[in-house]
Amino acid sequence: MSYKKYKFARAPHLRHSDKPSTMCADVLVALTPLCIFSAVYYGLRPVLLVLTGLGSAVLCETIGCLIMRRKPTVPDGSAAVTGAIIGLLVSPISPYWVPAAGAAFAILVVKMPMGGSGRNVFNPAAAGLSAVTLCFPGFFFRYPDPGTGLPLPLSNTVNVAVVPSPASQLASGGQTLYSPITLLLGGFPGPIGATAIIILIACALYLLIRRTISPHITLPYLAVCAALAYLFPRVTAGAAGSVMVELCSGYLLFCGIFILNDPVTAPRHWLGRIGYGVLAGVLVMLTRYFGRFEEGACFAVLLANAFATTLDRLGWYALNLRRIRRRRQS
Amino acid sequence: MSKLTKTGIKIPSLKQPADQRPVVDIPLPSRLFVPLIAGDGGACQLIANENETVQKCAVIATSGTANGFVYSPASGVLEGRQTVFHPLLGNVPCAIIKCAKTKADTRKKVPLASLSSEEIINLAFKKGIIDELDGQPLAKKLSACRKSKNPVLIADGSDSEPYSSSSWAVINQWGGLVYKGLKLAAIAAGTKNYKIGVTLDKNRFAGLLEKYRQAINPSVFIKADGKYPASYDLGNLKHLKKADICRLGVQACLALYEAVAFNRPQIDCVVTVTGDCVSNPRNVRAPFGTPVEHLLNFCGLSDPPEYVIIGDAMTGLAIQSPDIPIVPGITCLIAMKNRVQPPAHPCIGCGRCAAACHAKLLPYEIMRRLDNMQYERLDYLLPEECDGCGVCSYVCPSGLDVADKVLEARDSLGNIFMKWGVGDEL
Repeated sequence: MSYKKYKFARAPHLRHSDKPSTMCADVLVALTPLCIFSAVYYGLRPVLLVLTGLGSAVLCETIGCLIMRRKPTVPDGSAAVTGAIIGLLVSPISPYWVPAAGAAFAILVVKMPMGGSGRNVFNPAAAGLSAVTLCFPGFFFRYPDPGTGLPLPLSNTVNVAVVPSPASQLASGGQTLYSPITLLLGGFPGPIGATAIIILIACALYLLIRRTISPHITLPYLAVCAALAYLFPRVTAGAAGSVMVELCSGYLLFCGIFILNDPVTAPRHWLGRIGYGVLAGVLVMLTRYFGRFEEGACFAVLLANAFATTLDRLGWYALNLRRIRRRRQS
Repeated sequence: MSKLTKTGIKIPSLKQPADQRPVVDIPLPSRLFVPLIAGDGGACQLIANENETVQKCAVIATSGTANGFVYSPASGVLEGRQTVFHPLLGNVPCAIIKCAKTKADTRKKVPLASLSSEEIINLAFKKGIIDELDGQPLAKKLSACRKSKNPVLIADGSDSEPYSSSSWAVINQWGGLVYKGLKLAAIAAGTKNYKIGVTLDKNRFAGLLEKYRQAINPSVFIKADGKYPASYDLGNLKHLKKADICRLGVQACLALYEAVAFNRPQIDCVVTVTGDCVSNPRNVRAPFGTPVEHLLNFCGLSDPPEYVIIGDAMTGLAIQSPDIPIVPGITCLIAMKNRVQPPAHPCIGCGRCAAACHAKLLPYEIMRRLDNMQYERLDYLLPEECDGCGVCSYVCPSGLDVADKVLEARDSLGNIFMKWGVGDEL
């Protein structure tokens, strides 16, 4: 009666097929068309910048795992996503070392010392981008004209004429130079992966369908940004025009889709997520209105990350206060 | 008692081909290991002597109370008593019965008297009827129903777990009798609201209604939403949303009818035998005490299994010995060669466990506080409301055993630490 013939295992004996690597693969798939779109305007240089960021992040994660004597976590894809996001948010004329430095900071300073994948408090991509923005502001917010049709040279430094982006026009106030159609089609200067608005919307839909990102974060975030842009317009194009330009300029939309939805640093409960989206939206607009730079979404995300756990608990407690009281009484 | 909630997750069905086949009676094994536990949960002492011939349905042990009896599931010779470790019951004394060849089961119908509520509940106790959904005595559940204000009985034939189809097989084969048993249960519970829940597509549901057009009022059937854990599409029955729902197993309803109509105790159950190692997956009716290996051999093994699970894939227990006997509450037996166990990754915070939890808990937070030894702060997260459905572990992309941790917090270990942690200044 007591002999053991079969193996022991814990329930459940079935698992869903999704893994962290599946979710990261989804994000990388969604980032690919943005990269291709940029290559159409600027040639191969933006693709190389993204690959540099990606390669640097993967290399740093491997080194970090070796130093910490841990099993390599590169196959889960989170480092690749961090590197690719940093690469996509730099200017097409940035030197190659800028995304590489940002990715190295993200992985070696923000992610690995916290314990690696799944344990970081702040979003590594936002932190890496913030670090290089603060340290080397001269390489940021300088964008070439996408309308020239000429591919950018592949050398480390590029000397081409820079044109004002919609975000810089917002920062300086006055009339915007770009029509809503141009803004939607992405024919305006900006970071590599943040100008293709229609593609970004398609990516968001893809990720929503795949349940990789949560509408509870993105929609309140965009709604708050739109509401603040409507109430406090910075351009003479009227309230509706202000909403359009604010949402399409800089990397506000990109941030709402890819960075804010990082599951590790966002709240898990739906009500906490809504609060997080609202808070991030307010902070992004505040950094835009009162910040030193024309785009401060990465700083705003870091601030919002600090409140993620608190918002998460508050959201759940708010909905379950009666249950908890009943339990304490009993 | 519970309220109906519309939550749960879709799990791909793995019921075919067992759910397409009729229930078959399994030939008796050489020996049965019958746990000496009465229907009311009391430990029993043998009243039959060693080497004494016992008849099927005869009382072989009693707990000394008015309703505590253990019945022989088959005719044979009582060889003695042996303590057996059973994953569901712990170390339990079992009567060993060497089965004798008997004629086919003949049931003598007794005249159906109009029984009162108490009489039905007493009969359910006396005949040892256990609800297969939760392993609770049916009589206890009916007594609890009686005390609630607006009870609604649902004979739960939804088979919401991925492999099991035993409830559906019972409804398909003995639906009329299940309905009669449910009506008796409703009398016992003092309610006129009773339903039979099934998970079927449109065509099969229409076929079921057609099949039982004469015997069962079609409005009794309700469709489950096909999610796990089961919830029901109430349609126009919205008034039931505020009712106290009491889910009964269809096999328990059938046993209640047989107890009243044939004076027969619950001595067998229908079990789905399936899995990637079973060559002929099907639903079989086996007497209690049948060793698991006998069921597997009856259905045939295409490969020697590495894992054998009693219960279904979401909540079942992996057993290690092939001699574990079938006891009330087992409705599925899975023999698996390969079992998906993803390598554990740190929690990535996707929140899927919280979104899927039908008890509306925060499984990831409970797990985190348990790991960080913040036992005193576990109390606020209500881990005791977890029913152990396992959905949080199923959906976890990191492959973590979330449900295990929540259950750990819920069960005694968590309580001890919680008490210890309160007011701790360190």
